[in-house]
Amino acid sequence: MNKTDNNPVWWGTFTVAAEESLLWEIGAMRLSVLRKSQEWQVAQTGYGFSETDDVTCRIARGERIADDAAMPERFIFTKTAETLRVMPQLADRPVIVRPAGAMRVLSGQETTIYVSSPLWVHIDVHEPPVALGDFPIQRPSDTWFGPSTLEGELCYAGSTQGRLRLDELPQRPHRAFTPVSIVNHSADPLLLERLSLPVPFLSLYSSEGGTLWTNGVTMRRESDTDIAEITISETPPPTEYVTHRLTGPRKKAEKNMLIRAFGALLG
Amino acid sequence: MDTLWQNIVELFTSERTFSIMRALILAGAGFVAARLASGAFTRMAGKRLTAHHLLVLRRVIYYGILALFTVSVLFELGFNLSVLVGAAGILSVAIGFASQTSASNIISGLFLLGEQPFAVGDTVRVSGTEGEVLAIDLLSVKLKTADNLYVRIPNETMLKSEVVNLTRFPIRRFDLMLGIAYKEDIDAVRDILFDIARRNPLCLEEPKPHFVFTGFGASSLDIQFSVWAQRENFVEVRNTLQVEIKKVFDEKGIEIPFPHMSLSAADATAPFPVKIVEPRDTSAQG
Repeated sequence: MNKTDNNPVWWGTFTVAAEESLLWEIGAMRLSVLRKSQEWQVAQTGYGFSETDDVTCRIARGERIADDAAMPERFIFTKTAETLRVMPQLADRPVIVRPAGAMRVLSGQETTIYVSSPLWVHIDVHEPPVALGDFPIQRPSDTWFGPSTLEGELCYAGSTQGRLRLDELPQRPHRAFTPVSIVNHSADPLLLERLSLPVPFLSLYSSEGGTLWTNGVTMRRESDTDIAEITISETPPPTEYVTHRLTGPRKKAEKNMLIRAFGALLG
Repeated sequence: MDTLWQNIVELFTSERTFSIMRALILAGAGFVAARLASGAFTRMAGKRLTAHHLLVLRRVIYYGILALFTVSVLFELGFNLSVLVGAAGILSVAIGFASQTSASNIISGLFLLGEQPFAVGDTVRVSGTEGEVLAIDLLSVKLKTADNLYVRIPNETMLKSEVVNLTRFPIRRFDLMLGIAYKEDIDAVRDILFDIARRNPLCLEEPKPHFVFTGFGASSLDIQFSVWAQRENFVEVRNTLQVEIKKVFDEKGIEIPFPHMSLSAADATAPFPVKIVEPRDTSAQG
């Protein structure tokens, strides 16, 4: 593959000759993979905090991150093979999303908000595949989701806000979109300040244009609590023409799960 | 010669020798059975129980089996157990007085196991000593400090003193006490601190960082800036946050005041000039 500028599709299967390297640039993040006769080396820079909105993709063959910029991680094999697979991967913890401004879903009402969540680059090599690891495109902040500092779970903070309309959400190649339907069956209005998106249970799909989608999630609130009954749709969202499934979920979801999904802010 | 031979044969065939041998075999079997049973229990329940519960139950099984075999051994040796129990009653009073400290430690140990203020693997701070709990034993708790020292703390001390469990909850707050010069704009400093916390992925976004203006100090405006972090990342957050604050304050020219001390050789310091002036005429005021 030659240099590809601004191509949103950065994943796929690549053939790498011995002593050859491949470099990915997605926004500020740079990731290089070098194949040697007995080892694979992966180096990464620029995955920390970044405020740039312009996230362009570039894959360059023959380029790599210099050793003095980042110490490469070394993976030793008896003999390396030429197959390298790079796939997008969702987070291993739930992602906390805030709607653009707190909103109330009144009793008996339902709405769909579109949210985006951060991605990791999953690298595996050889046939059958041997995983080298997951590398963040942009490491999200840690956050806590729960009613108090004693009870809750550690999550990632979603840096973007959930929107009611899909076209309001910026299209970025390093994030995956999820349509979340919120149904309020309880007698009281639901104040939606934060939402815990259970991404470890979701699969990733890609559309024709290279946009990444996850399965749709339905959150049903039956009583006046922060617990929601979560249903994960078997199929990808029908609003987009999704070509195929890229990766499966990290955790197997039960049919109907009860998860603490809605949360107000801690003081 | 015959008599000696007869004596040897008698020794090996007498009932007493048999009972001693049986007792020895029982004692050996007791050790083996206790070891095997506690080992098998560890293998079976190892994944389902916490390290703390596993340790306690393993000890109970080991010493329980050993106690049963000891009773059998004593019985085999011809001891009258009812007399022994009676003697033990009297003896225990004497022993109780003599080993007051040990008894108190044993009872404290039982309370510690029941109350469970910490478990094996937790990091605790007890009267200035901070370390990871290696074992909770009958008489003492063993800690391993960060500089790899082995510390034995008697159970009685553990029960009496204030014990801080640093790893009980998954998140911890780091309180940074900071002083800035009186000339600085507090609002600007507050924005800078929040921005530094926002850029650090290990600082939790929620619960939000806290900014508290603690007061007008002797030479600085005193501030408390508190951020939350995952327990495992606490030390890293403490380091990265303070280093980043110093870096950004230097860039933005924000002064962190500190007491200055001037040193000079005595002969190089000129004495304070003293000038005698005429007393002021105060009669006009009065």
